[in-house]
Amino acid sequence: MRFFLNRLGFLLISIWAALTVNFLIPRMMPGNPVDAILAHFQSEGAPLGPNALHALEQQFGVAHSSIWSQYLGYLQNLLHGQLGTSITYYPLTVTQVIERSLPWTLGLAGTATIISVLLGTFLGVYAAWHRGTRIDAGLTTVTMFTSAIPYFWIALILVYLFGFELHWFPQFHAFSTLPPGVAWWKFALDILYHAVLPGATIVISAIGGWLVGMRNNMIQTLGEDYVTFARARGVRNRRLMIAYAARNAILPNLTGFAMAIGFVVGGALLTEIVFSYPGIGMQLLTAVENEDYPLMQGIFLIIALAVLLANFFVEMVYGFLDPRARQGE
Amino acid sequence: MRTPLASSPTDNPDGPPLILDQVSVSFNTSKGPARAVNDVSLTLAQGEILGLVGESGSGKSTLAFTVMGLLPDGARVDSGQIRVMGKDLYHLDPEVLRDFRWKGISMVFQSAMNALNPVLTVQDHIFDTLRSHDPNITDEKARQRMLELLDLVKIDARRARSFPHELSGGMKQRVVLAIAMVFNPPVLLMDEPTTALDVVVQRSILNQVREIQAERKMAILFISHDFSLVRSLAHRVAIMYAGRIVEITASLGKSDAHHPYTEGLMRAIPELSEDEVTISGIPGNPPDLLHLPTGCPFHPRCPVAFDRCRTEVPPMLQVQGNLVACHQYSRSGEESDHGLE
Repeated sequence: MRFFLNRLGFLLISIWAALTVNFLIPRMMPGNPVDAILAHFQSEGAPLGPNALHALEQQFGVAHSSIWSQYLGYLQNLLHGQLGTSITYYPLTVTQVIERSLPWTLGLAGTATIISVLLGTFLGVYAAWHRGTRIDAGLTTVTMFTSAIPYFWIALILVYLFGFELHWFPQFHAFSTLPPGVAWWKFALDILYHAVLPGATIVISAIGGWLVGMRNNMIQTLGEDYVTFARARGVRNRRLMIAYAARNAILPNLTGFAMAIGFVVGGALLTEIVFSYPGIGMQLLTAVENEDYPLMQGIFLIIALAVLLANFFVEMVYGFLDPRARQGE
Repeated sequence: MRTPLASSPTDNPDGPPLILDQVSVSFNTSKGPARAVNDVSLTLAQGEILGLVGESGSGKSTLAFTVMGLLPDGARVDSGQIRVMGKDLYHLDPEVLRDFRWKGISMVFQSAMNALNPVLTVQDHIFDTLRSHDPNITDEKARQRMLELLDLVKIDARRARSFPHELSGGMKQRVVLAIAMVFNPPVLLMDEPTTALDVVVQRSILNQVREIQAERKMAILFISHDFSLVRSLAHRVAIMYAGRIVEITASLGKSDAHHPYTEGLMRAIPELSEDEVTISGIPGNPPDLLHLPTGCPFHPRCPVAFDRCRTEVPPMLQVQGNLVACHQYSRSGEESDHGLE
């Protein structure tokens, strides 16, 4: 319980720090969104009057008040879930844009990451247990190779081969336009069908790291005295492999898992771009292209929160798996 | 070749609990095979504590792991036979061997610090051991056995829920000892069980071992590099050098006829009660196991070596009740007190 409160306190402080940095960074940059819109309209040959300017300033929260009162207002807005208005998707709010794209990213990158972690860890345990055999050598070599390939390149190859040449899978988007009133499961299958290639991209590029990491950790724990002692005591192989070797070997990997889960929200940026997948990564690209500061800020905030929450969650799991961590500092 | 055991291949559970007959073990290294255990023959009698002493790298631990059938990858038994309670360990079905280990022979590991799984409690360890041999044991029975064991090694029953990192070094070693006693095995190997502990804890653990041994009467092979400690505990002491047993001596015997290496070890023990402490080491270093000297492995460091020592491996000789592998005791027609004092 003390461990839990300790970590919870740390989480809250980190979130506050992330919020503050997120507030400060855009204010240290020159210009503001209203100037950007103004320039946009001016270049189109339709300059805006002072009234319109004032209205926009109100809408985007370009305030001329002190930084402290801006900060308090910012925190207050956040508490109400208000992240401002998107410039690109005007008049949608940033919250609305994120709400629409987050499920796609979580569904795609989240599922793909969990698949690669589970599969990679399982295969790593298997390879370590059969270390020195052909299976071990084969698995390790192949996954080292796949994880060395840049993942956007894998994405391009998959699109070209299975989308463009063979037409097995759609080349882009998360779903196709189906006639209205179609059964929900048909829609679900359609989504799954669209997710295969981008999902495979993520799994192929990520699995090697998990496999090799787990394999190496596990080979280390297999050499520990407590494993030999357990074998001497007659502990059966299955329990030896899971409760003695793998259980201890997985601990260092959990930290990596926390990071990976956090970065899921950041989206497999390039994967989403290659497949025109309507997730957070795609929105971030759009935001950058359109100088959509409110959207960028909102997305960065969501990414930071996701990393922090994932870390907190994994720390809880860590505390559960490793009794030594429970004592804490 | 002497084959006293091969002539009686039938399992004889009433014989000595542990017999090693001309056992040799080598490790594969990148520079060729290294002989870690060389032609070792030992017999452990019922209820006996046999000390096994030698310096680091002399093959003591390898011998223990050989007896357990737990040699690491790359090590193999080249020749010889090991019998525990009459069973030839190296010709048992793997599943039979898995079950026989710990019931017939158990072992206390050198590093109690690392012998316990950091993510399991004391109770988990004991239950794991019990369940591995009896999957149907009830929780109630397992708990009862655990309490008996904790009582045996004088650990508070409340410690059952503790994780290894919550225990002191001495307590961990007691837990390991309790785990070794789960099935009251007739043979117990102890590989430097007190090396990592301070002398006070060391003493209390040794007293405990003595007590348990007096009660349960199991045979113990006690491995240590501490000659004086072993002498105070064991009935007999075997001295190992470069993979060979060079002497087996009664620990309290009055005989002065020892192997020159044993002499050297004895001179290296400080006597606190004496006014002037004079200790001396043995000059030179233990041999490289990849390039063992011909003849007696100790001859390059031996103060009394002569020609024959360089060419011929000395056989075990009965000398004043001790077994000593040294040519000086077989030199006929020469004076018998050559250089030994």
